[in-house]
Order: sequence, then structure tokens, then C-alpha cells
Amino acid sequence: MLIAVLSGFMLAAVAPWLTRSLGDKAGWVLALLPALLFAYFLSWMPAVMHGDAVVVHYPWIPGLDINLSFLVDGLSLLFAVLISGIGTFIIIYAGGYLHGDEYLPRFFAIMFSFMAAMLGVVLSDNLITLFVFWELTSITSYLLIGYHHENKEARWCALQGLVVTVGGGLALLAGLIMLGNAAGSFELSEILGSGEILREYPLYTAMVVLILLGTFTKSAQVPFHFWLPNAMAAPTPVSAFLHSATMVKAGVYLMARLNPGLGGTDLWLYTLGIFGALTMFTGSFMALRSTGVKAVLAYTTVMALGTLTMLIGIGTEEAIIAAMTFLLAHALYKAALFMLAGALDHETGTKDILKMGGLRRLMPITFLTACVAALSLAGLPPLFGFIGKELMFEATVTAPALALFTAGLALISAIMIVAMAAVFALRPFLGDLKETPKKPHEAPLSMLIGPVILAALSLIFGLAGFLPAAALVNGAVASVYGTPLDVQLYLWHGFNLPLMLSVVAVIAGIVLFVKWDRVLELFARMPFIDRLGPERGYERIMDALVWVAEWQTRVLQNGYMRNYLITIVMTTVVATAWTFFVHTGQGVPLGEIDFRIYELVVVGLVVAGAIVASVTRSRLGAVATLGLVGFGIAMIYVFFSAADVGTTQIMVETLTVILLVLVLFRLPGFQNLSDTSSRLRDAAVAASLGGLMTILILAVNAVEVAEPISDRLVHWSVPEGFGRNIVNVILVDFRALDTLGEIFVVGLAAIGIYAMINLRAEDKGK
Amino acid sequence: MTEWVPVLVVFVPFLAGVVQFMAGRRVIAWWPVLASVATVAVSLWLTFAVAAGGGIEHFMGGWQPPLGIALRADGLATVMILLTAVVGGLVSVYALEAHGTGDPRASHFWALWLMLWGSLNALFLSADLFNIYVTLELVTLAAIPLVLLAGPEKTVTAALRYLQFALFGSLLYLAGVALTYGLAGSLDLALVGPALTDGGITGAVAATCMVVGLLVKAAVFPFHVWLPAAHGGAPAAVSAILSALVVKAAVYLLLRLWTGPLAGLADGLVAQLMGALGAAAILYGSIQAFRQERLKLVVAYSTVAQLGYMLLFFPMAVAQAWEGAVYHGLSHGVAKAALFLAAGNVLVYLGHDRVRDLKGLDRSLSVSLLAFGIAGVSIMGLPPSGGFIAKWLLLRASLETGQWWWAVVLISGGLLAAAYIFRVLRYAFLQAPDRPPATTGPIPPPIMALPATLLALLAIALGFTAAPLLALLGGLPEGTG
Repeated sequence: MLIAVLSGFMLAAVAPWLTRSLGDKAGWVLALLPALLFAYFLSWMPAVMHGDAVVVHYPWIPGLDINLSFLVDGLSLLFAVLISGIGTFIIIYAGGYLHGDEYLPRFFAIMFSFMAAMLGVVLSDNLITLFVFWELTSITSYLLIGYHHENKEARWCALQGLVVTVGGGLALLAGLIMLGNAAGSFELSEILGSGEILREYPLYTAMVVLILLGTFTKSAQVPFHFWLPNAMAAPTPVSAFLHSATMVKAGVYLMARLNPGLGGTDLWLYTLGIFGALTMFTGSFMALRSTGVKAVLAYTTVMALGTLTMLIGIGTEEAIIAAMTFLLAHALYKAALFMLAGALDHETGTKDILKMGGLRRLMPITFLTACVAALSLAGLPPLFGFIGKELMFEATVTAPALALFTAGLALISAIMIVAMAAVFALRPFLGDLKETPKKPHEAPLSMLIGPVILAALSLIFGLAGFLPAAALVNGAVASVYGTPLDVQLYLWHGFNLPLMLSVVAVIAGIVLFVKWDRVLELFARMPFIDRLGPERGYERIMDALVWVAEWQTRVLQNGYMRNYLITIVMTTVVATAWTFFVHTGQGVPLGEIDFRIYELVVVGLVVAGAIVASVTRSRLGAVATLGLVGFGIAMIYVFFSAADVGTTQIMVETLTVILLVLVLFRLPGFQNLSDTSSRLRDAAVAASLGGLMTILILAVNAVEVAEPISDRLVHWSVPEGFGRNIVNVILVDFRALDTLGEIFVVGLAAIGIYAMINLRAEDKGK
Repeated sequence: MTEWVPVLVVFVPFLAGVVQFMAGRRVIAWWPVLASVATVAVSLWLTFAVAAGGGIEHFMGGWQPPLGIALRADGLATVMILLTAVVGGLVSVYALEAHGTGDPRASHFWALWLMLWGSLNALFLSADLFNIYVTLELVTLAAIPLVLLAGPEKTVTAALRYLQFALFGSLLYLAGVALTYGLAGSLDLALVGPALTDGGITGAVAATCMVVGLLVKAAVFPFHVWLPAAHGGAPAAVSAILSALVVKAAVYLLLRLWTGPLAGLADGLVAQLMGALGAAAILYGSIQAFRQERLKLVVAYSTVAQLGYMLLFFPMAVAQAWEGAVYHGLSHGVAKAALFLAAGNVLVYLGHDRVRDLKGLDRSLSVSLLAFGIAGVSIMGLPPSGGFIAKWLLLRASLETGQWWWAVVLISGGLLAAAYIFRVLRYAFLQAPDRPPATTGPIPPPIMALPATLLALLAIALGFTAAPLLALLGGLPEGTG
């Protein structure tokens, strides 16, 4: 199983090389892998078709609860079979469609990675592994959608798809972690059995909302549906694959997968039911307005995704059976239709339905296949799509809640879909032959084999409903519903409400098809519909991000050192003052202040020096008064019997003053560049720091200090350090490492300055 | 013998740097190689010794605290030294080619870098508050001249800003150390805790000064303003070192102090505030990274954002948050170094790094861009990378402690990171050139692309090696939370 999932990645690594060496036959040869996988997954069928599940286990990071384990049951196998089966035809098709394209090798590499990631999503048992593969599908599909990267629009669409799905993916991760915490396990096989615990979980609502954000974005539910039609910018083989069996279905897969654990609550029912039904309606409505072959199909995909979501939300026996049947039917006809759309585009050179016509003689096989697949899309007997649609109607009318709402929207959507199916299958082929950019002829075998077989399957499954029922649908329904059900699929259900609805839909749909040109004119007069879309919201958010960043640059990061200094100083002042007041309450405990008159004189001199230095207009005067401050402090050291520190201070001050004076003469003349208000502001900032420090020193002075360490130092100095000068013993014995370090600090500063001067001289020399 | 390994780890690179400075260009062909290999070797020795036998303690000169200074190699220090050895070693390989033997700056580079390497190791090992101040100064004063190597005209403003911020931070930290010394009569990390806890207002103010000082050094929002210009302007090898290791050293100290001496002072509100600063850094840094026009500035702003994740440890303060924050430090270290080296190669080849003009590099710079993309996966926190493991641990911690708001930050941060990384790749990978790019430089040789690739692959490999590394790190120090 591990090899089956990862073989796609392995083939991806060598695909470019294989493609180059195989030349024309590359598509056919490479398709062997998905074909083999298809056979392999089919061989699992007997094991799970009665609702059993098998878990295959490989450890990844055991300490962190992250394992590679695969869950094979009816649902995952249905998806795996679809992915590998349709994937086989897509690879063959791509070999023909992108024939001679210079990027084809890279395309195959990404395509196989994508396929492997998709298999990983549907087969993972561990939530984290599932998420890993989930994100991999987002990224690889981004690369696939942006395949025509010369095209600016394609790149924009790809990025939009990525941002939406990755964003949703991150919400999903949070939801999955909550799910794992709630169930006490990250293995799906264990989580699904603990539905009771999950529904009682206090954060159930948040968990469901986060997970649904992930699945809704991935599966293009309203209001996130806008990215999917834009993703048509992808080459057609990619669209066919993304829309039929993969990518967008991943969200549906996860909702179906979690249904036994999370479903059965009002939140689940109403959220999925309402959003699903709205998506279904929006999709079919947008399809009606479209004239591009791929756009029509893309919007019908949105419709199908909405239908599936709605059915999973309803969650009754009928609904789950309908969902799985509809899913299978949709995968078959949608893959076929997209590949046919690609063939039309490839052979005529246009994507616009209105510009095609009369192709029935030139492309007869395409025409016939399109009719069969479109009948399935429209839900007409004897196609498999009809069974799916009947079941869907039945599920909506028998729904425990929202029955009128869902059934109503389902009927309206069905009408529009019938019309669009007819448009797709008839408009390009009937009527007079129209002038197209390329001279049309029948597509090559590689591009027809897939659609023909898939359309044939739609027909066979419709006529012999027991085949899919026993092999695929039965097991999948058991996984989604939680317990095995007896699934029987027939074309004929007797005269009942669903059949009536179908008849109404078909008749109304045909009327709509005949009047389609009028409808388009009508829409053309209502441009405001475009302005209401959620896509505007996406653009607004992107714009807002830029705006916020620009605003902060103006305010916070404007490049002036003085503003940076204010930021640092004020943050420090606020942080320290806050700590201080938290600990002292309102009052400030002041220590005893005991001073002598000569101390007062020195302090007065220091203060005066500082004031003069900051207001004087003469640089020399500022340096001199700063010196006064320094010497005053040295005097204070001496008063407190730290004569050696005082001496050091005097030496440092002297050196500083000399250096400053030397530099002063190289500076330009004194200018006052600040206005009064900014000087006052600077003064306030400085005063706040100074004031805070003063209060702190007074307060700290009042606190009892621990037993002075100097006693211990005195005690150890002679016997251990053999020295009577304690400071010396500390510097060269006890804490010699610090001394060494400080020497190197000075050394490094010197090296830095030396390097700078050296480099500067070099630069000037050049 | 093993108790001398910490000393070797500090002094081998440091003295090698001194020798390089003295000997200058005469030994440039072989001395840096020897010195780097020796440093990596002793670092690995230390790692294996600690992994096998637990923490190592060495008293400098035989003086025990409180008189003398101890070097302590515990799990946290050891993983940081290992990170420094890995990143430093690979950056050295890059620098051997990038700075060449003919460049007169090469000698300066190697002298400063080897001393910086030793200083970083000393900072990680030091168990003494004042000695940590000394190592902080050493790190700063070795790092700033390295920035200037890109050419004084271009970087002098950035370097001076860096200096001003760093000195202010050091000063504040030193004030806190002085207050602590008065209070506790000792500077050893293991001994000052009780005195600080009982120290009332003095203890609190001392802690505030040290923490704010380190926040300035760590370029945490709102003190980040110096970082992008300095990291973006420096030569590629230096940018990689600064972003991957130097700023992280200050964050490392925050973690070290918070879980050690300051553990008794931890206040819920302050912890939330630290987390809020981290969150602000994540969101703000990422948005800025998205908007930058120059590739190296994108990467530099990404550092501002990524450092924020480590601060999310403080409000959560549970074992998973501890592991997640440190693991984030490790995986960001290797991934960010890879990004900067890859960006450096772009700069070598194109002569500029304007994001919009990175057209069609996917042929000539395919290896470097691949490295950029792979490292980007870790920066985004996508599986199966080390960044994912780190975020995963942090996410679990946030949900476990009921502080879901950090989960929101973590998730949006990942999304924004995806946005800025993909923006770069979009221009570089997906745009076929209208005409061949007007190059001004040579295609960087494989030896310059290789370190970036290896670092990027390591960032992915960290997704699989979490168990032994977290075992080496050890659990959350007792008394925290």
C-alpha cells in the first residue's frame, strides 16, 4: 500500500527523463502506472465491498503521534479507483493534447506528484498524514493550473486557487487537531467510532466550522466558489482530472469521511444543507450564463459539488446512497465531457460555444460521445446520471429538515443543467458549419479513448445498476453512513414524486435550451451580477493587506533614527514603569536619603553641565560641559571611597573629550534643524526616561539587599587567589573569562573600525 | 576529558579567528578550512558527549560559582551549538567560494566570522549573567563589521542603526544584571533564582530590564526596525549567519532566563504580552515580506516574522510549547540560511535581486531556486518539514492550554508565509523569459549552490529527526509554567 501511494512520487522523479526518451509514445507508456494502480485497487474490492475496513500501518514519528497508516474501506477505495482509473485516461489524453509541448516532461512530473498526493489524501488513516497530502494537492495543483505561465491571467488564477485552498487548509489543520484532541487519537479508524464523544465535545461548533472552512474552500462551496472556474486556465487534461475525480472532490471526500463522526447534528445538517443547496443553485445559474465550453463544465462541477455537500448534510439513508451514486456518475460524465471540450478546443482553436457549429460531420465520434455523456449530465434515462438524479430528488423530498428548500433549489438547478447539457452536446455540432481559427477534424485516438470508454461506462452502469451497486457504491455507502445498507440501483422506480420532478426538469430545461440566446441577452443587460460576487471580497482583502502594510511603514518605520529611539525609549519606560507600579501600588517607597553639602555641590554641577550641554549652540561648549558631567561623576565615586573607579572614569572622560574635540573640526557648521514642537517632544521623552530612572533608584535603595558578597570575596581572596587587592583577584582569577572577553570586545571593535577604514580607502582607491 | 569539551568549543574557533587576523592573507588558502572543520568536529564531539552522558559542566579556572564562572552544556545549549555547527559549517563552504582567496576582504571575513562562531558558542554555554553580557557584546561587535563587508557605502547606515539598537539593548540588560547582583550576591544562573523571586520590586525591575534588553537585541517587534536593512544589506553568507544564528542567540537567552532564574517571577499578563509581541511580529513581518521589492529584504522580513513564533512559548509554557519553540529555532535556522544563500546566488548571477525582474531563472539557477523552494516549504510550516513539526507542537500546545488565539496566529502566519514565498517563486519559476535575462555575473558554481541545497534538505530532514533531537533537548526545565 505504501508503494502504491508513493509510486506516483517516484515516477514523477524520472518522468521528465522518460518523457524525453520515449517521445510520442510517452503518454501511453506512462499511463501504465495508473493502470496498474487501478488493477491493484480493484483487487482490494472483495475485501471491503461489504462495509469492512482494513488499516495498514507504518510509523513515521512515533514520539509525536504521527504515523503513516492507510485506511482502506469502501469510501477510500471508490476514490482510489476513480483517481487511478480516470488518471490512466488523463495521462494518455495529455500525451495527445500537449503533444510536442516543450514543458510536457515537467507537466508529467507534476501530474504524477499530484496524483500520488490525491491518493494519499483518500487513503490516509492518520489525520496529519492526510493533511500533508491535502496541502500537497494544493501546491501541485497550483503548479498545474499555472502551467501556461506565459499567460498572466493563468498565473493570477493559479495563485488565487492556491491562496484560497491553502488558507482553508490551515483552518482545516486547526480543526483536525481539535478533532484529534477531542477523540484522543489521530487515527481516523479510531476517531470515526467515537462519534458520541465528538458531538458532546465543548468546542464541537468551532471544530466543525474550522474543518468545514477547509473542505468548503477545497470543494469550492459558496462563498468560496469563485476560484474553481478560474482554475479552468489550466490545460484541459488538468481540468478534467481536477474536476472529475480529484482536488475539488477532496473536500467532499473529507466531509463524507467524517460524516459518521461529526454528522447527525443540527449544525452539520443545516450548514451543509444550506451551503450545499446554495452552491448547487449558484453553479447551475452561472453555467447558464457561460458560453465557453470549459466554463460551462466548470460551473456544472460547482453544481455537483454543492449537490454532494447538501446530500451529505441531509445524511439520511437515501441521501447517502444518492450522494455516492451521484459522485460516481459525476466523475464518469465530467471527465468525459472535459476531455471532449479539450478535443473541441484543440481541433477548432476556440473555446466559445457560440463560435462553433455544424461539427457533426467532421467530428462524428466526438459528437456521439458528447451526446451520451451530456445525457448523463442532464439526468436522462437510460444513463447512470439519471439514477443519481432520481435518488437525489428522493433524498431532498424525504429530508428531515429543509425539504422544501433543498427540493426547490434542486429542481431549479436541474432545469438549468438540462438546458446547459443540451447546449454543450448540440450547439457545436448541429446547424451550419462555422468558420473557426483552426480547420477542424476528428481528434486522435489518444484523445478519444478516454471519453468513449467513460461515456460507455455511464451507459452500462445505467442499464445494469447492480454492477456499480455491488462493487463500488455499496461499500462506500457503508463507510459514510457508518453501518452497511442494502443498496439497489434501478432505472425504474415507479411513478413517484422524484420521477415527476425529473419530467418537469427535462421539459422546462428543453424550453430553456431553445430560448438560450434570449436568456444570454437578458443577462448581458444585468452586469451588476458580477459586481456582487465574493471574488470582490478576495480582491478587497488582498488590497487591504497592502494598505495596512503601507500605513505602518509611514507611521512606525519611516527611516528616521529619532523615531526609532523614541520607540525604544518609550517601550522601555512603559514596561519598567508598569512593572514598578504593579509591585509598589500607588505609593513609591523611598529609602532614607542622607547627603552632605559637598555632595550637593557636585550634583548641582553635574545637573548644570547636563542642561547646558543640551541647550548650547556651540559644539565645543557641549563637549566641555559633558566633560563636566563626567568629572562630577568621578568625584562622586571618590566620595564613596571607590578611588580606582574614579580614576578610571577621569581617564575615560579625558580621552573622550580629546577625541570629540578632534572630530568636531571636521564637522559642518552648527544648524538647528528641529522645530520647537519636536524639541519639546524629545525633551519629554528624555525626561520620562530620566524621571523613571530616578524613581527606580530611590525605590531600589529602599529595598533590603542580600548579604553582601564582598564578605565572601574578602574571605577567599588571599587563601585561594594569593592576592590582597580583591578587585585584581576578581579580574584575573575568579572571573578571568570576563576580563578576557572584554579585552576581545575592545579588540573586535578595533578590528571592525580598522576593516571599515580599510575597505573605505579601497573603495575610494578604485 | 569530556569536561574540557565546552572550553574547546569556545576557544577553538575563537583563537582560530585571532590567528587568521594576525596572519592575514598568507594563510587564507587553508587556515579557514582547517579552523571550520576543527570547530565542527568539537561541536559534534560535544553533542555526542551530551547525548551519551547528559549535561557537562566546566568551571573556568577551577573557580566554582558564586566566585567563578561556569560553562554548562545542557540540552538546550547543545542543540543550539549543533545548529551553529551545521549552519556555520555549510555557510563556511559557501563563503570559501563566495569570498574567494583573492578578495582582500576574505581575511577580514574569516577572522570576524570565526570569532563570532566562538562567541556564539560561549553565549550558549555560559551560565553566568555577567559573562552572558560579555558574550552578547562579543557577538554584536563581531557581527556589525561583517555587515560592513558588503561595502561601507551601502551598509554603513544599516550597521550603525544595528549598533545603536544593540548597545541600547546591552545597556538595559546590564542594568538588570547589576540589580540582580546586588540582590543575590551571585551571577550564576542556577543560584540567582530564589533571590530574584523574593526580591520584590528590585527583582521585578531587574527582570524587566534584562527581558526588554534582550527583546531589543532579538529584533522583536517593535524593535525590529534595524534588522531588515542590516540582514538584507550584508553579504549573503553574513546574512545567513545573522538571521539563522545571531538574532536567535538573543531569543535563546530569553528562553534560558525565563525557564531558569526568572521562572519564579513569570506573570500571566506579562507572558501574554510577550506572546502578543510575537504575534505582532509574525503578522507584521509576513505582510512586510510580501510587499518587499528586493529578494533579500523579503527573506529578512521573514526573519522578523519567524522569530515571533519562538515568543509564543511564553504564554503557553507547557512542554510541547517548549519543544515547539526550540524546534522552530532549529528548523528556521537551517531553512533561513538556505534562503539567504540561494538569494545570494541570484544576486551573484543577476547583479540585482529585484523580485519583479527574476524572470526565467529556472534554467540557469535551477539548483539554487530548488533550494529556495524546498526551504520555503519549511518556512511555511508545510509537512513534512521541520517547520511543520515545530508549528504542530506549538498548535497542540495552544489548544491544550485552551489559548486558541495563538492557534489563529500560527495558522495565519503560515498562510502569509506561503504568500510571500510563492510570490518569489512565481516570478522566478513560472515566468518564461521574453528574452534571456540581461546577466551581469557568472552562473554561481555548484559549490555555491550546494550548501543552500543541503541546508534546504536538512530543513526537510528535520521533519523526520524530531525524536532524537527533542530527546537531546530534554523536557521543559522544572519550575516553569
